[in-house]
Amino acid sequence: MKRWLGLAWSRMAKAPLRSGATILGVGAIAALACAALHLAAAGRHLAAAQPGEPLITMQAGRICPSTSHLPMSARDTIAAVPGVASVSAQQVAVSDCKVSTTATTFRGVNGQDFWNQHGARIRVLAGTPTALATQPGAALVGEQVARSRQLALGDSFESAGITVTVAAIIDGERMQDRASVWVDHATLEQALPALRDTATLFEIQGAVGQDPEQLAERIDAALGGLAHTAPFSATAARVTGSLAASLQSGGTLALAAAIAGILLLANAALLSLRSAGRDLTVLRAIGHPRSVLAGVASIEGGLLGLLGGAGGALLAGVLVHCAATVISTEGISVGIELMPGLVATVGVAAALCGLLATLVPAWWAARGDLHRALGASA
Amino acid sequence: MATAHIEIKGLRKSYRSGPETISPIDGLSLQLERGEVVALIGPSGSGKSTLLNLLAGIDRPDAGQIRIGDTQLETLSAGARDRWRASHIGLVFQRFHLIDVLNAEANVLLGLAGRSCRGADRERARDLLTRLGLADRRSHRPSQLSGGQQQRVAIARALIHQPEVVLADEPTGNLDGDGAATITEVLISEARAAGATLCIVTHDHRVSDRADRSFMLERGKLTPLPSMRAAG
Repeated sequence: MKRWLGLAWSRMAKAPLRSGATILGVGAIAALACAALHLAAAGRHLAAAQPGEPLITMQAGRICPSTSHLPMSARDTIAAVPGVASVSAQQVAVSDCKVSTTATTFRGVNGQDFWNQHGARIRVLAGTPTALATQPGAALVGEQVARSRQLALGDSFESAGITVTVAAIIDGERMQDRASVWVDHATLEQALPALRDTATLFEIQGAVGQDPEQLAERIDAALGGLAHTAPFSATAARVTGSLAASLQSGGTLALAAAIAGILLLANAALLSLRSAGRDLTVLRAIGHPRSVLAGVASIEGGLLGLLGGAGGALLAGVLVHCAATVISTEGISVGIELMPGLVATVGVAAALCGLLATLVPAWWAARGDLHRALGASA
Repeated sequence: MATAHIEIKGLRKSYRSGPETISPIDGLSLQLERGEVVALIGPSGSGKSTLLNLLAGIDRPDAGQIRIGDTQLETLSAGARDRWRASHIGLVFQRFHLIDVLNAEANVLLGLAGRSCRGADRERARDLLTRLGLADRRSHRPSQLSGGQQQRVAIARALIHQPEVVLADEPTGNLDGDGAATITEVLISEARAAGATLCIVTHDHRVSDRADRSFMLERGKLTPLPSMRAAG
């Protein structure tokens, strides 16, 4: 195997322009496929029901959370519904309701109660989280937001007329934790007086063993038809509408990219085999089995696919990580997060595509009429 | 009575060439002893290379039998002939046919078809290259070697797996006079040292002069030529 790898490598090195162009082409395709798969994964994750996910209560008939207005007092009504373990009121303010990668989503919460409500799933990466309740204008910034905007502790920034200072950077189990800027109710109400005594939505955790649908029905009944309650995933799917579906179509884009990659590699393989024809003939003449020679010819495709695929996937991974893109719409955020398993899969898949693309032309090249081939190469 | 190493009986091979049927081998018979050096001479197109291809199992006869050692070649499938050739035959081509991206030693090791290389094989490849005067050229690629040096590498490749038969198709055809004489000498002495039966197709009478027996191939049949070695 080592000598065949050496032969394939030497053949690639002998044609640096062809090999380089193929690797770059495969790399670009792999990067595209990798990015598309990350988008698709983000879309799938957004709309997928998670075990233990909270229920979200919004004003009935509203799609955009920032247009939902419920009296803050509804919190007590919801808390009294049998089967409700905890409820927290949130005020959502966004700088842009439309689909945007630059919008800021502010989540106003009770600073005193934040850690009781959400502490189990939040991890503080840096800073002083208690400042949320004690320091006016303090914000807990999700790490995805901090990374994409290159925010550090103590930085102040303004968005949607709200000016805050980064008191802590937090990580959380949910994308909404990582992609939001968390502030105290008072901070938000000072900037947006219309939000006073008003909640945009309530986040509810049911008691263990509660059926979410039945609990949602009980909550809506308790609020007298004023509100609509649904699991977070269903709310997110409804709010983001076609965005989640568009993101999920990234899978189709990745498939198209894979086909383009296979065709590119097959073309490179045909060019390579045209020049390798004499070598394959000689190797067959001295007794190397056709199956081995087909494999040898395929190794080159596999190597080109692996190098291009690994390079492209790694590049896409680095870009995804550094860009920390958050696509927001109507206050729901979809974070495009690095998935190392996906990067590795694209790299391996590119190598397999290289082998696959080369296998058929390699097999044909290896099974040609040896007598004629020898005559032609003599 | 000793059995011949190679026995060819009533061999026939024809090809279609446009509307014509060409029969370069037509009822040919021959027996070669183990370790014998035989030269096949004949004009271009007389079927010398066809005969070599049949002996190597590269091509299959239309009729007749070829036995080499205990193997009846015409009964083997194409795959079985490939496997058999890998272990029993060493081939030397007129144009050397080295792999130009590999160095001399790696080219020699390619002669080990159908199995992986071991440390002992590398030792043997180096020994062969040293014996052939290429000790300081084993890391050179074919493009860095002269024609004669390339053919020596090709001879080493043909001998690395210790074949019982070496078939050489115009091995000196691409070399000048001195180079041709040296390669002839090297090929014959190495084949004799290995105990292999050597069959050389050639236009070069100096090659046939060094052979144990020589034959003229014409109209599909072999005619023995007087042995210069015996006469000498």
